[in-house]
Amino acid sequence: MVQLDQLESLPERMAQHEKLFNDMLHLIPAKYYIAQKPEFNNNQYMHNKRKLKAPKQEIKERSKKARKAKLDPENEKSIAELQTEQAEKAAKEKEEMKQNNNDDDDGDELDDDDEDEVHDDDDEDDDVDDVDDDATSSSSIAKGDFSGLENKEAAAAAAAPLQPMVRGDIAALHSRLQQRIAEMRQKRNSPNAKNREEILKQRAKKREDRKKAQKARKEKKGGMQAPAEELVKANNQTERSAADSVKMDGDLYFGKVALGQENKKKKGPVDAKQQLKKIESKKEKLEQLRKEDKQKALQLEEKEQWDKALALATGEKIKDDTKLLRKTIKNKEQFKKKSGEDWRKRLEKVKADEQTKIKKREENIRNHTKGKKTGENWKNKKGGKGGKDGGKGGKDSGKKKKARHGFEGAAFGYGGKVTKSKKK
Amino acid sequence: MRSGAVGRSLTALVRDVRRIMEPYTATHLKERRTNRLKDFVAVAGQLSITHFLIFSRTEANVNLRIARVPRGPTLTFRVAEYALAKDCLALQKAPKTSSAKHESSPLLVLNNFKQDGKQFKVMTAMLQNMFPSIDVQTVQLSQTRRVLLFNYNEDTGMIDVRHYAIGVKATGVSKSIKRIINTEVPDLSNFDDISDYVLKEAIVSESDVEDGPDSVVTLAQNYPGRNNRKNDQRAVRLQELGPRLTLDLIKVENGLCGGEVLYHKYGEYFKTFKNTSMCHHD
Repeated sequence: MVQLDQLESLPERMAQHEKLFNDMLHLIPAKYYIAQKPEFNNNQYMHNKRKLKAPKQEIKERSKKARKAKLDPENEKSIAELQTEQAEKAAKEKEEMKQNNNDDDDGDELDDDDEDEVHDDDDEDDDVDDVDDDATSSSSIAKGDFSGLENKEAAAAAAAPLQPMVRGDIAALHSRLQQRIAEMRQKRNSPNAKNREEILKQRAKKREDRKKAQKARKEKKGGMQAPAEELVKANNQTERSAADSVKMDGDLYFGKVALGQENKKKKGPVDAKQQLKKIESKKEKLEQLRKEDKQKALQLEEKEQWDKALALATGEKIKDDTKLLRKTIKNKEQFKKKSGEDWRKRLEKVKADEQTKIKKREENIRNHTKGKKTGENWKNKKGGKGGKDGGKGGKDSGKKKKARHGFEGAAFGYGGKVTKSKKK
Repeated sequence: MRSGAVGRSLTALVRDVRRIMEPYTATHLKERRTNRLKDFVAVAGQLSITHFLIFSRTEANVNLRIARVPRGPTLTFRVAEYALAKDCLALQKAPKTSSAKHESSPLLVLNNFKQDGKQFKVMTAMLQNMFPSIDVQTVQLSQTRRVLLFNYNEDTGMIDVRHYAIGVKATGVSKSIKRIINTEVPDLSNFDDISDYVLKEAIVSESDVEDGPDSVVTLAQNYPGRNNRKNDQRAVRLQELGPRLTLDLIKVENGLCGGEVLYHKYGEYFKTFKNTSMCHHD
């Protein structure tokens, strides 16, 4: 039961509601709310109609104008305004219809009644907000439309009231969207997968397929294709970056480390002669082997060469050149000879020196004993000073005993000959 | 050294390679056009030179020959690609070039050389003997400033040559603290307290992430560079110094640029070709 006090405020509240809804309506641009009438101009199926209607140029101009008008904010009619316009048109039409109806009464009575009712409905609706128009009312209006079409096309078209867009099911829209997406995807040939993993899987599969196909082709074609295929493979490999091919767990060698065991015992012949012997024997062996089995000989030779190269690289000195070895041997021998000579000579010289010394000494002694030195020399020289410095004997008196002062004529051996020194 | 007309870029490469080999190399060697290989050999004995590295250029490619001097084996490589040192340095934001690094010879690292084939053994031996041996008892950390890396790439059959400088960086310390310790105290006007600056973890240097637990070592001795004391934990970092080379072994010969061809990359047939064109004009 409606309470009396609320009844009074009813028109106010209704006015408020109306204002609210109108404002909301105002916010929605007209094209999103009101169903568009099908444009016969741009219909792709009704070719002749199009042509009849207007030549191309006019169509162009018209569409241009329409485009510009669309963008013009003043032309943007809100829904309410559109509705009012519609209502005015309807009113006009009604009057016209009435006039027309006066001409042909019978046939159109029923229709007229219908239309009247329709128009009446419209008028009423206009006062109240007709946003929440049901589908039913719109359908009745639609019926009215069709009946009106029979009479006059223009009138009916004008009388068609504004229909809000049919609010269909969201589910239906959703399904339509999915359909569209599926169509486009098909067009694109994109993988039909939802998440990333599936897409990657599909890609991997495609790659595998391609590889298999390639292999199959290769086998089919046979050897001719081989170089081309190799090229392709090489290209594939170079796609990897350089860092990929660094083997991290490869074997690392470092520089030489001196461990302090350098002075190893030298193996093998140290001497050049023996070296030579060794090498010559090796050569002979190799020759023999070559006569017997060439392959083995080659192998052996190669192995030896490699070993030699390795040893040389590490710095060991390999002496295997026969010429040089012979030269060294010769040099050594010569040196030995020479040094032997020198030694001999030296020994001889030493002996000879010794001999000369001895000879000289003996001569001196003889001279002393004979008095050559004492006699002539003294006379020739200063003479007077003869006997004074008798005691002082010369240095090389040899076995002569010196006569000391006071012991000149000694019996027990200290005495000696008195000599007169030359000099003081 | 280079032989023949090689062009400007190869001359630069030769200079770069000389820098790698320092200090045991003739950095300022000038080869004249009339010099022949035997001249060099004659001098080598007196100066106790052990190896020759000879670059040469033909129409097709650039060749490098590494030969052991008196009568030793010769390895002939084709230089597939090379990048000059100045280009490598240009790639870096902060290249470090100090000449103290070149006062001792680089450490040698050969990766993936344990392959089948005698030529690998010979290569390894040659490369190892190009550098002086390290005396484990008396070596100083300050002598290990550079590293020369040879990497054998199995897939392509090429050897990559890279040259790095070894640097150490303090780990486990945030960048802000490092900054305070090592360089000057930064601008603290935006912070109320120094604790704000130190705790501001937002400054995470990108390169610090590279220092995993693998690369952290304990210094056994003092290391050159500021604040590297004994028994400190440091992360080892490599910075590229020198040229990059990609070498491809073509042949191994028994003698000095001649002699029996022991190995030829392109097979047995080529072994029989005597190397007349390349060497005689040296």
